[in-house]
Amino acid sequence: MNARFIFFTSIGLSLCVAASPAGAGDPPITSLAFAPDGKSIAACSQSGLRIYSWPGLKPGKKLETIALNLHDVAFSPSGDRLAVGGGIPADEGTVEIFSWPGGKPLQVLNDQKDSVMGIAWLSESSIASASLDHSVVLWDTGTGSPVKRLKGHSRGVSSLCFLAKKKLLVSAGIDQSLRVWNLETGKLVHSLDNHTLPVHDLALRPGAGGLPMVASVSDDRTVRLWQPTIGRMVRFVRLNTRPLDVGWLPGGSRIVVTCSDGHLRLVDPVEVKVTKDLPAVEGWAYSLAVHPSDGSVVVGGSAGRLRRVIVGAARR
Amino acid sequence: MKTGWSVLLALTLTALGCPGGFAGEAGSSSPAGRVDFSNDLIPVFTKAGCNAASCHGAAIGRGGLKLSLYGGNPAADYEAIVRQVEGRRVNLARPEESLIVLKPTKQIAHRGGRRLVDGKEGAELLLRWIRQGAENVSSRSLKRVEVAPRKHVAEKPGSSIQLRATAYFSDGSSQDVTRWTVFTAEDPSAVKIDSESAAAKLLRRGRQVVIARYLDRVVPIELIVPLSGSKPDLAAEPRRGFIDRELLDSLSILRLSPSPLVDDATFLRRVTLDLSGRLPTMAAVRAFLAEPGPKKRQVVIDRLLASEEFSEYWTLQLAKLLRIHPDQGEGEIAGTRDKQGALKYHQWLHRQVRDNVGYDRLARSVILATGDSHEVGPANFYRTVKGPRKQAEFMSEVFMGSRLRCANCHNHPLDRWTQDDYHGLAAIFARIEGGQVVKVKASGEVIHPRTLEKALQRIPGEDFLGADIVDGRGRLASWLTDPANPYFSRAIVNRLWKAMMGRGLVEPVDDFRATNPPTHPALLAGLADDFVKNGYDLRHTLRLIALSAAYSRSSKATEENKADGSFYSHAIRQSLGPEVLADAISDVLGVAGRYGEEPKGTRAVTLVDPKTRSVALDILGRCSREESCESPAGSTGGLQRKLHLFNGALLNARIGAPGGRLDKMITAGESPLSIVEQFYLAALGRYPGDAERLFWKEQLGENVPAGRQRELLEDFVWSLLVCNEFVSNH
Repeated sequence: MNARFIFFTSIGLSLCVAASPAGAGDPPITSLAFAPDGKSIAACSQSGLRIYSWPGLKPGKKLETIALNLHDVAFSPSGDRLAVGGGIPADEGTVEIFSWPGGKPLQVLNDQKDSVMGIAWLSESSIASASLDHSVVLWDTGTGSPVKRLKGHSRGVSSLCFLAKKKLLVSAGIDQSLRVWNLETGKLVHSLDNHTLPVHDLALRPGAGGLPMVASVSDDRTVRLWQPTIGRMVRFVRLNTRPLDVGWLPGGSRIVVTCSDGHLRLVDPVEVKVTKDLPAVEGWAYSLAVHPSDGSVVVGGSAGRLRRVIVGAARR
Repeated sequence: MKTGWSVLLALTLTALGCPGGFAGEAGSSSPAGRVDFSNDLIPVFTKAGCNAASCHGAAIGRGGLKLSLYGGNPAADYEAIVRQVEGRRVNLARPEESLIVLKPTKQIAHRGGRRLVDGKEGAELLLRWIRQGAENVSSRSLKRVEVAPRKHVAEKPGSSIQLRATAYFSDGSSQDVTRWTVFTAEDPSAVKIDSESAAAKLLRRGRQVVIARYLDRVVPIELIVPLSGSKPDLAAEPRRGFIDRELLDSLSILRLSPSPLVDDATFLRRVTLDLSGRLPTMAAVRAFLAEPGPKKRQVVIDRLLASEEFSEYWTLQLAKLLRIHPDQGEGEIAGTRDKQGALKYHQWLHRQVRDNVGYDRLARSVILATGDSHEVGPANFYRTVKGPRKQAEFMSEVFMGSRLRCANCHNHPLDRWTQDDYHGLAAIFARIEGGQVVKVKASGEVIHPRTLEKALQRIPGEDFLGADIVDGRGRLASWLTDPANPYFSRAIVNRLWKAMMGRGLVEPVDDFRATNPPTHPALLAGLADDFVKNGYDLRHTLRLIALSAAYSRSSKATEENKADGSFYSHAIRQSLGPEVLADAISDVLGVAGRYGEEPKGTRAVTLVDPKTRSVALDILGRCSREESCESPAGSTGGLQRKLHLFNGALLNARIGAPGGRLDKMITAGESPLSIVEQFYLAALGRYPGDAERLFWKEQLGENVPAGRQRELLEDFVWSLLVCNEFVSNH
């Protein structure tokens, strides 16, 4: 066991410890991101971008957005800005950037023709956005202009994952594929087509050892592990329900997956088996975010439900 | 139950000629005004065409949105609309900004055009549902839909009829759903439907079918405009049983007068071809025509049914149905043709026909078969097609007359079959190993494409089998051959009817479904009941049909009934099948056909392998039996067949062959007119008429130079064999 972690719950005692108030007619929480200090969380939905306290999940400030639908939220590498991707369905895709923690609107990036489903900060001055218009656009946040447009997906693009050291961007989409792009040239490096149904989300394994490893989740009920640099699928695990969002516990010991049955599952990436199956929210569990240090995960779901689930270890 | 106000509203709307008023708050079926996704919104999508096959109901959807075809799977539709793509299609925060509202009302670009009008009932219902939280809550389920009228006879073209539909729900309530029922004419050029008022205007004479669709229910409506203006007097027409009664009743409604009955010669040729696949011999024709007495037709039918020729011919008919052909092999033996299995299967089938084994027993034998297919004939049933899904499709087409294959990808849009039925039936066959040795496997599965789980074994339209049942074929065979099964007996008697009458009561014969009603429902039911009561005896039903007056009608249409192609007012002229025609040519010419390595004298109808080398059968358009022989693609012929008959070696090289009938007659010194008469008897089953005798006398008589006589006689035989009277059963 890593000495830097202490366990304050056993595996059998994982539990939900906090939940936000929700109304039956509220829209689903589609994306979550912890603030760099871990003391608050940004959650987006059709109701807008709202900040919640952590771990109490008390609703706080709401940031007004242009977009009707919001799908992905991410803090900049330095943590001084917050970006949210979304748009007006079938019309416009937007990336809106706010100052953090002030919440002041700074920039709107909109050059795509349908909602932005996934964003990824590439540096302090560049961000990538994936849209249902099939494109991935690389932006210069200094000028607010698009720099490159990556074309290759035959249907909407749902998620992005940046491999900083390799200067590679992985995209995944409704066309059931993952695509690996060289960011310097904008060229497609690999097209990975093992999934048999649309892919929802990607997450890069934390830590520095070995080849970069990315987890993907798809309607085909699988969680697949990839080594994008060599264009290889390494392993996969089949679930008995559909996974919707994916993350990794700090250190990369487990993959965390939220599913359409409202559960949160932990997957051992080596043994490729589910090690925990925890009920989290009623309805679909669309989104998750792993706290950087306290051993818990926040799950966002249908009807604006938000719940903290303790899954194991907290950093000292 | 309807509330008093809603009844009043419905009555008011009806009185105003506005069918389809909803109970409760306008548009919703719930008295509380909550919009029910399954029962209220799915019909809106269907009526607007959103979930049609040409739109989002397509197998891969359209524009990223995939709906179940005609709303056959409301749960999947709810998920697609509300859950998928992170719920982007429904905006719960700003309902009027929802993609699912903006697109069909064309407030933003929509390739499907405007399907709902902003502010009108359908769009308002949709918007109200979103405002209420876009939930998938339903307090009741649809039990049945009744449509009025189910059958209507109009006096003349131009008449309009108001169609109405009423839905009955599980909570005992009912609702006029005319407004949201889709009425579709099978032939839009014959019936015009006003989709707003649900009025059907009949544009021409004849029988037309309109399909009413509400939710997952489809109901056929029969609309008739008599084919003539005056009612025929059918009192004198012979009624030999329920077949004639039913057919004459429908002719009366359609105001069609039937053609007269045929003469003895035509009857003998017709019934001999139909029951034995052969032409009557010259001796048989002469004897039959010379024989007096009213019972001679019955006697010849019974003699034919008892003949070996009947067994050979009906073995061929059933071999085509069961697609008996040498297995192509897989893997290492791919491309090799296992003739041994096909031979065993064919021999077994011949014994079943010869011994008059009931069709139910025959079906049970093939469905339950196991063992070495080189020894156990019916085990080859599991070598006919590859894979459990194909086996399920094959079984359903053969024994149920139903095309379950549509339910592979989605619940059958035109019938009751669901994906559970299709994959559940395939799951039964997944347990069967179909190599040379057919056996039950301990495991074997098919994956249900919707659930991505192992499909549970299921009797179609009935129940799932228990997980502990390894081999579900016993339950399947028992269900299939149960006297109460509505498919099994109807499917086979319809095929027998088609074989004898030229057209199935349901066409195509492998496409029984709610939206493809029989032309004569009571007749089909009567034939099926009679078949079951008489031990599933094929001969019994064939005899019943052959004895009817309807079977004896002339194929010559009258001025009054020439427009009829479906109601048996006259016999339907049928082209002879390739094997029958090949044998008939050989019999008339007295020159045997050659079939691969088979012994000389082998008849085409007895061939086991449908790919036995034979140019004649290729020309005549045989079926390889690798696919159904009942589909148009299952056989060829047409122009190629005619051209080869006219110009090819099939006839020309054999007409005057040494040792053939013509050669023998000429060598024996028979007179040209004697030769003409004998060929008329052999080929057409009748004596030449006076005009024909006179014609041939002039062509072949005394003035013809001796050196040209043979050539002219060959031309005479050629003309006989290419004429329509010879190449058809009429």
